[in-house]
Amino acid sequence: MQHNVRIAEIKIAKRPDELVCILGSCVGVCLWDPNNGLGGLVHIMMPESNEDKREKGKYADTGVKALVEKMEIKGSRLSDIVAKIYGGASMFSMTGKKNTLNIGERNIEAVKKSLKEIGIPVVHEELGGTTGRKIIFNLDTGKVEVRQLK
Amino acid sequence: MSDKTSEYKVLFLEESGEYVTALNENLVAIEKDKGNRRIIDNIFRVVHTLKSSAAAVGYPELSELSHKAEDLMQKIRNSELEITSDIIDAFFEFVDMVRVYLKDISENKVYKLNIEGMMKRFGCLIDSAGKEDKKEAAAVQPAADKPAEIKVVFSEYEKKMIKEAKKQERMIYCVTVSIDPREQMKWLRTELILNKLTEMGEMIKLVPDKDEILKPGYNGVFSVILSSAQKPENITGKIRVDLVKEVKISEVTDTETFTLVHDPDRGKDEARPEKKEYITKEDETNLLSQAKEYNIITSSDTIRVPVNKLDSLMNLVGELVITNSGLKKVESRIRGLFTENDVLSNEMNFVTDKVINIVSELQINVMNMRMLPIANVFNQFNRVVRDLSKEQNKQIDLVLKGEETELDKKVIDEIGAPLTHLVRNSIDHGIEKMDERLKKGKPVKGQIMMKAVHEGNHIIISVKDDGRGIDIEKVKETAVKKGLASRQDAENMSEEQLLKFIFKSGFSTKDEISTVSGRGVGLDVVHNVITALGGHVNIKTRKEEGTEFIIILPLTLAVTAGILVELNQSLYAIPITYIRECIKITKHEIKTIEGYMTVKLRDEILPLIDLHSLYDEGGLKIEEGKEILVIVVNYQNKAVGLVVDRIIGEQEIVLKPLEKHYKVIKGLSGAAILGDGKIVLIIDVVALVGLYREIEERKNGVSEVRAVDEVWDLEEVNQKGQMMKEKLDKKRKEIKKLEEDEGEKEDFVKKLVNTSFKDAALSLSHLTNEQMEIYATSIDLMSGEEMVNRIEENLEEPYCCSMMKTEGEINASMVFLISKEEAIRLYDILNEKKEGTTKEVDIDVTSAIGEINNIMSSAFINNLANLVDMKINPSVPMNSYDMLGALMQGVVMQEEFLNKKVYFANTRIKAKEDKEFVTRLMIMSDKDTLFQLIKKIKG
Repeated sequence: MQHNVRIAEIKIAKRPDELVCILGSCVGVCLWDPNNGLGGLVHIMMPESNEDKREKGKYADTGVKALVEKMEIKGSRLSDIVAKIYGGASMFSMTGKKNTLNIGERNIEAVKKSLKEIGIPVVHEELGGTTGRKIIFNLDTGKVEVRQLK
Repeated sequence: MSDKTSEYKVLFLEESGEYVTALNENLVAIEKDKGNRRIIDNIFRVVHTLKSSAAAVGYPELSELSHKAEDLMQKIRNSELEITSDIIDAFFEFVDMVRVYLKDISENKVYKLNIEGMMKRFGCLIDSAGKEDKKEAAAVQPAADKPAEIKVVFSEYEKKMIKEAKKQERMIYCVTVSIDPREQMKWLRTELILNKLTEMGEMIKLVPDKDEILKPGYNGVFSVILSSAQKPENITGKIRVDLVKEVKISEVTDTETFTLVHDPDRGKDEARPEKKEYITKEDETNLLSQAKEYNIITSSDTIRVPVNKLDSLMNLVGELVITNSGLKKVESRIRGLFTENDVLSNEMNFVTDKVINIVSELQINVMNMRMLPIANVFNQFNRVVRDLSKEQNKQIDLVLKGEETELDKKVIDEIGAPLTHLVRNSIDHGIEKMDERLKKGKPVKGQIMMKAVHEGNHIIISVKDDGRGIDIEKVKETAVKKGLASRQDAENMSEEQLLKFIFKSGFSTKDEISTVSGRGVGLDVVHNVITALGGHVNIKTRKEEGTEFIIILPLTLAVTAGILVELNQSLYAIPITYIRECIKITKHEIKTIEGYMTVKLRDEILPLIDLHSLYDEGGLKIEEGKEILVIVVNYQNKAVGLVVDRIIGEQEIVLKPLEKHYKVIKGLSGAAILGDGKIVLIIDVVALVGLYREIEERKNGVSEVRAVDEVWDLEEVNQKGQMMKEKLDKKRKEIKKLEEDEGEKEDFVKKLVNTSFKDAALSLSHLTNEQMEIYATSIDLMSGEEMVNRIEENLEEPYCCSMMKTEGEINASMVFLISKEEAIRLYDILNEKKEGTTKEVDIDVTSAIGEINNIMSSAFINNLANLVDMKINPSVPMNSYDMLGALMQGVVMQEEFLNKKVYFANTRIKAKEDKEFVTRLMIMSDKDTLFQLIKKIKG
């Protein structure tokens, strides 16, 4: 079964399901536990949370943590979990102007920082660029298929 | 009744309450584990104690009935009988009977307990053992054991008498006499014996007292503390007369004080218990001491205190806390009069600090005194669940968690009823019948879990079942049917909003309920009680998986911290838990929308509530150029600004409900008295936010559009300068024309969009030398979130996107979307190429699309800028080609527009040969922009 993970959502599933999401400047963090085929995907939109803590999945700092917690509740050990990260593109090239927001890059940075803090190794990544991606995260094999336009 | 006996009565009632609880618990336990000796012994013990107590305090019927129950239990203990569900049912009925009787006694409804039926039932059960029970006479015999339960304390006078006696070398005896139950006039016999005893010595104390002996319920057992020079044998010899069943005599040797059985109420000024010679049989001594270990009888290091005493103590401490903060103020003022290192002022400072510490500790301690474990409430549910599941032929396990969690006594008292409703609900409607569960593949045994846990300043109590869950659709149907919401509203409501309906009264009638998968019996009661306690209820439900009701309550009820504010020289307090921040605004920041004052606070429109008018404090007077103080309060994610005159400071307050002393006033939750004796009224934030919500919900999201309508009230605008007028007149004609064309009244932005499209089409035609048309097939105003959801269906489709932001006085973004196929077709047409020439989207295609957006968006911006006479410039468009989903994310993140309003226009571009292209244009702006427009026009 395929589960679509929308903006700011956190979903976990078990093999043989697949988690799917489309990423622009958002960053998708795939966490996988090879022991039990349990995996999760958080669709992160912004680098850091402000005071609004309700939508944990929206932010890099809270989202990654929340996903790890969910997996731990389902029986995964932190030491078993590996991460793959995708997305963070710069969708709109500003002609003649510097794009000060540059959210894609900031998202990537924040996600990496979060993962490092928690202690989860990143085993594969495909980040940045100027185009969006569709990722299909297979929980049976732990492989992530990345589709890109052009 | 004399004071003494009524005192006993109170004690008896309290203890009996515990017996009933213990019986219920043990009966539920024995039902699950029929062979358990320990539980059988427990039941026996409790029944036995109840029997003795009842006899001692003078409820012979109760005693008799308990005795019968005890007999039955004895048979079971002796293995002459086996526990059957009949026996357990009979016992449950017996317990209920006792409970009701006790309640009536406590309410001073005195009557004779009708025990006949129950006696017979027990009798039959005993007989079923196959052995005749001939102990008829024994039915009254329990009286013999009663003294064990009587608590006797010597008064000062009595102690003196004992001392005197000791001095004169007389012995102190305790004589206990049981008169044969066959004696009809026990009081007369007692009198005779007492006369004889007084001949032999001085009577120091008589238990029970004379009044009691003369009462009809007197059971013929009494004790005398006697000082006498006689030998014990002589005394017993003298009084062992006809119809005296038993005489016990023992010597009391202590010279100071004597307590026969410890009395908790007066025990503190008495010495520890010295002798317990009262008990008749050895094995019963054991039983009773065991009973004590089992915590059925209150242990002697506990003092029973009436709750009202605690309450008044609590109130006093509350006052102390407040007076104390007054002290602190005085102290700081005094300190100001002295130099920094003055010894006296330092000393004063030291002392006040110490007092403050002690007071706060005192407060915590008193608060803790009122705390009781929720187990008191939870354990009752064993019985409730057992009865109901049996009645409905369901098998249900009750799992209790966090019973040790402590709650305020008031909460404990009140929470029982709502929890009962919730548990009933789960059993009645949540958990399915056994066969139904089997069919669904669920375990046959249902489960109800009650859980209590502390979380920060709150206590969370939840009742969770694994039943069928709430059918949201049916709730929706019923809500519409009952007229609680319109069909359209109901469709747009979130699950959470819909679930709120089940708390509405009237939603809970049985008939309707059966169509709403049941939920709702008495749930309004739950809601009301919890709200009254300052808490709220959340519901989590999943179809076929179960429902969880989560009650969230504040930890303490009495003392809260609040911010004191002044309104027209009257004092008000706002509970600090609701306060988000305090801000200062000026008059021109206040905007009126539909008659309601609002102010913009960090991209958020904050409604203002004028407390002056609400509380009749002379209305709000805003002076030009003067800062206005606004306290932003927050309740359930809804913020409201309260306009006040002055903020005085933080203060601990003891909330006193107004309705007790005055009456209920909407918007005020109570009053409090300050250290200096001033009275403050406490603002009910929940009610205020609720009030605002009501208004808002009625408007139901259309306010933005109407606000714009208001702006373009042409009458008003006509009064502006000549330039403006001309422009507007021109536009007005266009608008009129549009109106005629469309034959319906559109809101202004829509008109503006359509006008702009026409302008854009003109420019485009000019550019391409082709007749082009651009028009919108629909324009809708929606939230960013709605829009993201709306175009979700084909997120993977490649799209061309162009985004243009405005620069200048208005912040808006225009986003133009067109699918890959349409973009290529349009590109070919515009470049006069044959359709199908271009295969892929390249930089030329994207820039062409960017150019179209440039034309369309610029037209819109120019029209807008002309109208409001503001500087708004289009910026360079940003172009992109990607999956629709990725593009939308990019837009969303660039603009953070999930929280913004979007005009979403489904647009058609028509070129030669009637070729049509489907595109979308989104105009996004924060609400702020609209208010800037209003300001501009009105200013």
